Amino acid sequence: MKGIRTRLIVYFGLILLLIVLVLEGLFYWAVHTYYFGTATEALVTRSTTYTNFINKYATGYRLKDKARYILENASNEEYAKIEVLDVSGKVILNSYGFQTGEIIDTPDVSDALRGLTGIHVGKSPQTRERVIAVSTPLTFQGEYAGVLRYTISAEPLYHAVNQIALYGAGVGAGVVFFAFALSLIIAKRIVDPIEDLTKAAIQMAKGNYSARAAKRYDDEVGTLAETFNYMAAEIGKNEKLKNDFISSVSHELRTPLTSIKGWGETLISGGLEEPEETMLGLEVISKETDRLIGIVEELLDFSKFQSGEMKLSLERMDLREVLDDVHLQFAIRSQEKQVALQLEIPPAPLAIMGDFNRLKQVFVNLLDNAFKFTPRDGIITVTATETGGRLMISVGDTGEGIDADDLPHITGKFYKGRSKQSGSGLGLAICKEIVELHRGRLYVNSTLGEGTTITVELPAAKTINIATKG
Amino acid sequence: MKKAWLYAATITYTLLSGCGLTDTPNELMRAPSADGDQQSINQAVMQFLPPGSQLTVPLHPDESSAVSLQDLNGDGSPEVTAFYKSEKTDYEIGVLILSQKQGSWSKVATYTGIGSELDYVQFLDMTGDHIPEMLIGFGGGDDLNKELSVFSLAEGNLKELLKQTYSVLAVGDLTGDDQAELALVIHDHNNLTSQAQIYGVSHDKLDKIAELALDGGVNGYEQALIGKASEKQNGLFVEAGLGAHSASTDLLLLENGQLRNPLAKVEGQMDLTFKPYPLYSEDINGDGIIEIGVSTQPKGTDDLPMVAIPWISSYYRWDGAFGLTHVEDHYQNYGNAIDFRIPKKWGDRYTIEIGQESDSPIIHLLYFDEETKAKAELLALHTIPQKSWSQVEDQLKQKHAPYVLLKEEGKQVLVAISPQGTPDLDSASLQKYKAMLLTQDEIRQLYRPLRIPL
Repeated sequence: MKGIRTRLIVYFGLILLLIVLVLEGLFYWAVHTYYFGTATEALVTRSTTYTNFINKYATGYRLKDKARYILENASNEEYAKIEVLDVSGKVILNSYGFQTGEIIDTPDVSDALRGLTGIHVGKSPQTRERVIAVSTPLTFQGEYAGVLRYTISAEPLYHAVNQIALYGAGVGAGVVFFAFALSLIIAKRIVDPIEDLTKAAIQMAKGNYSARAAKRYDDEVGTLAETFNYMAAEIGKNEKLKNDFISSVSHELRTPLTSIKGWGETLISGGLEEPEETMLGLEVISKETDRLIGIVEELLDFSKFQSGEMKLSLERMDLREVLDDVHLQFAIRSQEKQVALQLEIPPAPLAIMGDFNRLKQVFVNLLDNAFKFTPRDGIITVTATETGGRLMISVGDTGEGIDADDLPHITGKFYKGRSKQSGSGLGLAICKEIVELHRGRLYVNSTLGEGTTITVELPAAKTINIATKG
Repeated sequence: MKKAWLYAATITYTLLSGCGLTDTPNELMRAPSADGDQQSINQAVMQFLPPGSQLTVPLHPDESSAVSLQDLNGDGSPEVTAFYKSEKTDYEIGVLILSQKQGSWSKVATYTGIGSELDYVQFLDMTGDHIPEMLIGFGGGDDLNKELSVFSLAEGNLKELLKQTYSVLAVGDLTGDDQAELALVIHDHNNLTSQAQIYGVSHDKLDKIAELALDGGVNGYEQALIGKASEKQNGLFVEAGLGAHSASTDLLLLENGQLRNPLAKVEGQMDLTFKPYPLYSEDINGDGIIEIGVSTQPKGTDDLPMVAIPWISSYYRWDGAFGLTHVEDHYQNYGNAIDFRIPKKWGDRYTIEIGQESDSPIIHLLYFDEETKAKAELLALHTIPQKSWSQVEDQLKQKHAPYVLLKEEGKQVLVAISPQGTPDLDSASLQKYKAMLLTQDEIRQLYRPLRIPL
């Protein structure tokens, strides 16, 4: 596996190697330029000054006499080799006193014969030694009569430049090595928190949601560790919720089953002699079975929402019909429980594209909850209004209200709050899903001890052509 | 300074590396080591030179150097001969001879001659033993006396074989026996006597073998040259200066041990080799035979003062008897280093005129009819400064002028421009004129840069 550590070291090393190589190249160039530039400049200065002197004051001398003058006045400390060449490039005298007669045809000589100061850095054709040669023209009677050529060896300069470049390479290698060590440390600092995180994740995967990743540095990985810990806490909470649900659903299922079984056994042992008692038992069995069916329906609905299989059959409808229907349905319960149910509906239709049965399910559920938590002599108000293309239907009660800490969770699944009321804890979650499928919103306002208002906000259908009515 | 950062970088590096990289570029400058031989010889010579001495180069011949390698004792390995001037006195010339023994140079002999300049040095076998002798001419300076010494190196000592004052000298084979002779021309200003002396091998020794008195009334002798006078005979050509600026040439032949001058002036006749300006003998056409130069005046220039005449250099060779045969004519211009050979087909129907331009006068080569005085341009030689040449070239191209670029390097460009159009001549002359016109190839062949001694 190519870990971050390896990659970091390789990339770091490559980048630094590249930088060091580029800098080394620049450094070599700079030193080379400095050494050769200075040497050439010095040679050019001496050569041109001397040539100017000769051309100015030894005008009457022919080339040979100039050469003799140059030889006789050459300093004993002269470090360069001086040659006097005729126009064909033939050496007529050098500073060692020899007339070698060799023809020098390096570019500096031809430059000098065109009146320029010729500079040549390269191998001497005769000896293969690297030299720096500077040639300047000697004049006689207004014409170029020959060339004065200064030559020095370039080998010591190359040696010095290479020596310095070698030191440079040494320092560069040191830098690369140092960077290598440094990148190891940096890699360790980056990789270690990630490894910690990995270990914590493994623990969590095994079901230990109490495992926590340590946050070492306040950086991205640190934030990730924090998020991870948060996630673990949430999963833990959900796990608890699920367990609570299973136990409460089991309890919910067991209560009607217990009474069904009780009545069933009574009927078996008691025979069917007393028709009254038999009828009561069968009624209880039927009622409890309805309750079981209700719970199972809710569970099925919920699982449909979970898997995304819930489909709405949308049609154009008047929401007032749903509310009237619900009002009718809860009229008896209102009288029985002595809780006033008030319906405030505008006279105009509340047009909406919706699924009649699903929307009815929503309001039945909301009113059911309201009745459940509203004590005797309380008031439940259903208000519907249309503002700006939105239908607002709120169901308010004067019940016990919801604790502010529970408020964000009550539309969650399996949440039942602290109440000891029966139910799966899925009702509100299903309502929320249905409303959201209608592209609406559901929100809850509640004050503990005063009551709860649940508002459903739905998009109104666009008004249709009046002509169709007539 | 723009190189400051370079210095800074170098210094930083030097400090960082902690090593003794203190050599600045200037300290690293030294002569190429590959010329090791010459350098070590030079160092050896410098070591044996008296303090404060400087090497010096002989004035003649042209190919001579301050330090030479010559096997002077015939042992198969060359000795180093170096000439130097002493700083103590201006009137001494030193000769230092070193030989190599087991890799190191040691002093063999020294000689100090009286003289302010080294006029002549030659290494040549003068005794017939195939070991070169050393001929050294010491001089006192311009037009002063000179003295020649001939040395041989025998048993580690310099032996002076000859010592003789001279005005000019020549070395070469005069007798045709492949053995070099030495010719000295001696001129005595005070007594107005002159003589030519020939030294050669006589009884295995260097000795005077012939002598001839020359005209003592001359101004001086300027050059002597030994070379072929004809296919079969060698001769000594001596240039003498006469009067204010005129000159003449003597041809001396060595026959049966006697010197004679076949061209000697006969009483009452013109001196055949007289010339108004000096013109030294040389092998002008490369046939191996030396020609004698005589300056002649172009036709139609009788009205001009002497110095304004564009003199033509006519070259003649000895006819084998008592006369000269014309070889060819040249127009030679020293100022512009032009040597233009006059083509044979021009005969004597041409003349030369120099333009009136102040800085670089145009040289006009003209057709000239002596009877009618009619003139027509055959060719013009223009000298143009290098920097204005491209401009001039454009103008020439615009005018469609036929031109030949004869010299393009150097400070001056030389271009030959042929005439355009038909000159105003009568039909007979026009025919002759047209025959004389030159093609571009001919112009190129006729031109050469003037040979000027170094």
